[in-house]
Amino acid sequence: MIDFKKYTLDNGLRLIVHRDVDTPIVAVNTLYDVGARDEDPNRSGFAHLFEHLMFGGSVNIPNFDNPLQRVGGNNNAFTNNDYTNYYITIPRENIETAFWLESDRMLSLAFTPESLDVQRKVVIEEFKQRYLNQPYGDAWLYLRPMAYKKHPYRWATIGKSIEHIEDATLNDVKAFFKRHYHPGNAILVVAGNVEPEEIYKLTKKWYGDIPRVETTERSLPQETGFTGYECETLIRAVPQNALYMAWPMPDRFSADYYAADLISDILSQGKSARFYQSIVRHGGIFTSLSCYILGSLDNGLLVVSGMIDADSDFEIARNALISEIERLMLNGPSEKELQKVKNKLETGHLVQESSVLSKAMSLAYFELLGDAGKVNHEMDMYRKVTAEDIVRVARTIFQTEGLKELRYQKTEHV
Amino acid sequence: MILDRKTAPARLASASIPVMDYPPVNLTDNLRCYRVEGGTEDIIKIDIVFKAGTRFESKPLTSSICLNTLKEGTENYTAKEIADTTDFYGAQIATNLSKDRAEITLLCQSKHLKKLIDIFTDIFLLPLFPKDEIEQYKKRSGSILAINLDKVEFKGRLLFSELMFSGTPYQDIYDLKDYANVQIADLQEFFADYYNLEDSFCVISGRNTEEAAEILGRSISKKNVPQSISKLSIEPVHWNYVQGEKWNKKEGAVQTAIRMGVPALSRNHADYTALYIANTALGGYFGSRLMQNIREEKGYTYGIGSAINSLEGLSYLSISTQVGADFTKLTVDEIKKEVKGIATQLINVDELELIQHYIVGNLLNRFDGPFAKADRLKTLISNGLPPDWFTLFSKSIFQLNPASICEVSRVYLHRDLLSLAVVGEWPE
Repeated sequence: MIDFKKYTLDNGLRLIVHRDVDTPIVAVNTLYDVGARDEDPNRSGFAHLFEHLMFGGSVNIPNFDNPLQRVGGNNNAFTNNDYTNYYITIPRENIETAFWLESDRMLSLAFTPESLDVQRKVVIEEFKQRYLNQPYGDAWLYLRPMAYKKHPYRWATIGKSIEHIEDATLNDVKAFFKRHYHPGNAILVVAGNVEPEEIYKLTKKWYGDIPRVETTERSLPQETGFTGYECETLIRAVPQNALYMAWPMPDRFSADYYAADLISDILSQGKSARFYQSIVRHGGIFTSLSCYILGSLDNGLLVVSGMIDADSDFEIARNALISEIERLMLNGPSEKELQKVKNKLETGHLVQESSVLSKAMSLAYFELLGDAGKVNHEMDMYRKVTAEDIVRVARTIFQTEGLKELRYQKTEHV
Repeated sequence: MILDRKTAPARLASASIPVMDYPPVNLTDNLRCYRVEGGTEDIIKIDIVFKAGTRFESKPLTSSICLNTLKEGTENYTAKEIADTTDFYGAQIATNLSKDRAEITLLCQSKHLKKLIDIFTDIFLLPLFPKDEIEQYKKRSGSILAINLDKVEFKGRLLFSELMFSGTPYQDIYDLKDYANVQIADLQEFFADYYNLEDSFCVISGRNTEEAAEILGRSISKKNVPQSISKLSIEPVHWNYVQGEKWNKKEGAVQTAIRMGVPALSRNHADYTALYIANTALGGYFGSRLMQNIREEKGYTYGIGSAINSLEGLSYLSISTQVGADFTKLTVDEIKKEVKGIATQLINVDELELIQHYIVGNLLNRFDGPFAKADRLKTLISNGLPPDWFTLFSKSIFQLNPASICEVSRVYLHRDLLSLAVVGEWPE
């Protein structure tokens, strides 16, 4: 159970404070409701590039990291398709430094052509490191545009291509800031051994005078129905053949989201799961096989990916996993199996609550979903899922007309 | 009142690091147990730490296959029973292998501990290493290794390790053909020699650790496994370090992996703190000289860093990065320049002050919650350090001046000592 107090400033900034007296550090987490899905299709990769620029100094403070490190603080950030999250941990006595820094970069950034130029290069190297310079690293650059035809999930957070990042201009950056970085589009969470009222005062002091900006409702093009089975094969010098299969699944707000998540766990969470027990452990077909959901806010994807044993081939491997899925759709999970995946989630949930930073991140995320209090009811949503729900939801998800398949076929080195 | 946004709020405190005062109790005749009570959730973690790291193996991959197949079947439980029961109770049995130690961890809700404990203890007391399961494990593990061997980062690590540590038990050797050499008998022998409770210790962290300790102690005692007398004799590592340099091509790589290193100091050496500060300035944090120069000024890389690695038999400092292929040689030159700067010029007082506070604040982060504290405690025990080591270390950070840091850097970071490993495809 995570207790918290919520406040809203006149300029629209939401503040959530969680008190945890057991820890010497305080986490200050700032979530902006902007992700890669809010990008212009011709300017992809922008939300993430922008995250890099947020460390380049703000209107009154030339360097973000330096003064924070000077008081024993630490910070980082991440961007995904849905939102951008910045976090600081700091000894509790020095918490005001975090407010000073975070509020100034919400007020206004100090963009320079030099910092844009350098961060463009850094992000291009990140692109190479994560996507291009390792086997199978580019799978999602292919899968996303297969799975999404309209929705901006059709590109990855890093961007469609290196060119989009190279072409970013200072004007683009300024416009992006103006549109997305303001109090009404942000959620501030402070967690640690703190007094909520004190934090509220500090928040008013540092954020109170940042002007309100009217937010516009997000209206993104949504997918309509299945777009047909597609299969693409990449011929590459990879160590092993690999298979990726992706099916559309319900969005994060749907009641069936939880069943879909449990389906992926029944199939592949842990060594007792069906994929491992029925396929992988016997050898000869897959050396690894997993199932997971992307967990996106809009319509998501349920993914199966596996490395194919050298003694097998795509057809045999594909048939093996499809028949496991069909078995689940036909007979459903046993009560014990369903209980098992719920127990596993429960432990994961409790472990997450053992660090103050992860509690702060969770509160911000659930507030983005509409209500920070949902963090304490999430397990109930999973507990409600029945074996019938699993079968019903599995039957809606696993349809060939929605399936997108990507294969890496190994070339022999010459 | 107009808010002054130009001036940083005053620093009100430096972080202070707690003493790790957790006296051990003997759980059984031969197992020392430490308890770190804390946390708000009903979660418990038990770590059993053996002196069974990679350095003890005589055939490559033995220690890793041994540790990772303990769960593949024991005298009282099959691999499937182990997986089914741990998963059913939402628990996790994890393993972690380092050069010196092998660790087995149970993480579960306290209320389920009694149902899991006999399985958990069977894993490190009575494993069977069934042939079929071992063969399948080798195949799965080999498949992961093959993928790693296709990455410049991993290949760079192996090349670096060869340059630095060949001739010592600390060299990383990962070769696909070695899987065939490791037989069941090798695993049984390695287990018998190195998985002795006598040479191990246990840390229990989370809620209700006292009860957990009793449950664990009872489960071990009732199995009544005869413990062989410890055969472990740890000989000092003879390390005849010779500086070396190697550039290996990997066709088509769009980034190059670069690793550089020098011998360093162990945590109980008088000059450790000075070298630790020097390393932090060089590449130990986001504001470090390497990060600022190679990433934030030149944009050659997504990240670059350096660290001191204190193993039980030797210590070294390593610098690592992956850079755009075109920037390979420029980066190597820049790294050398930065190392030279640290070794020959006094660090300025402002930079030093920032680093001092950063180091201690960052250390404090690593005491967040009982599990993090348990990890710190394991470091102390494994290295034979006193309970107040982190506290004294954090104080000694503030007692050094630029001259004393430079004095130490000049000796240990001398450019003639730097080894260099490069893997990628760079333009000549």
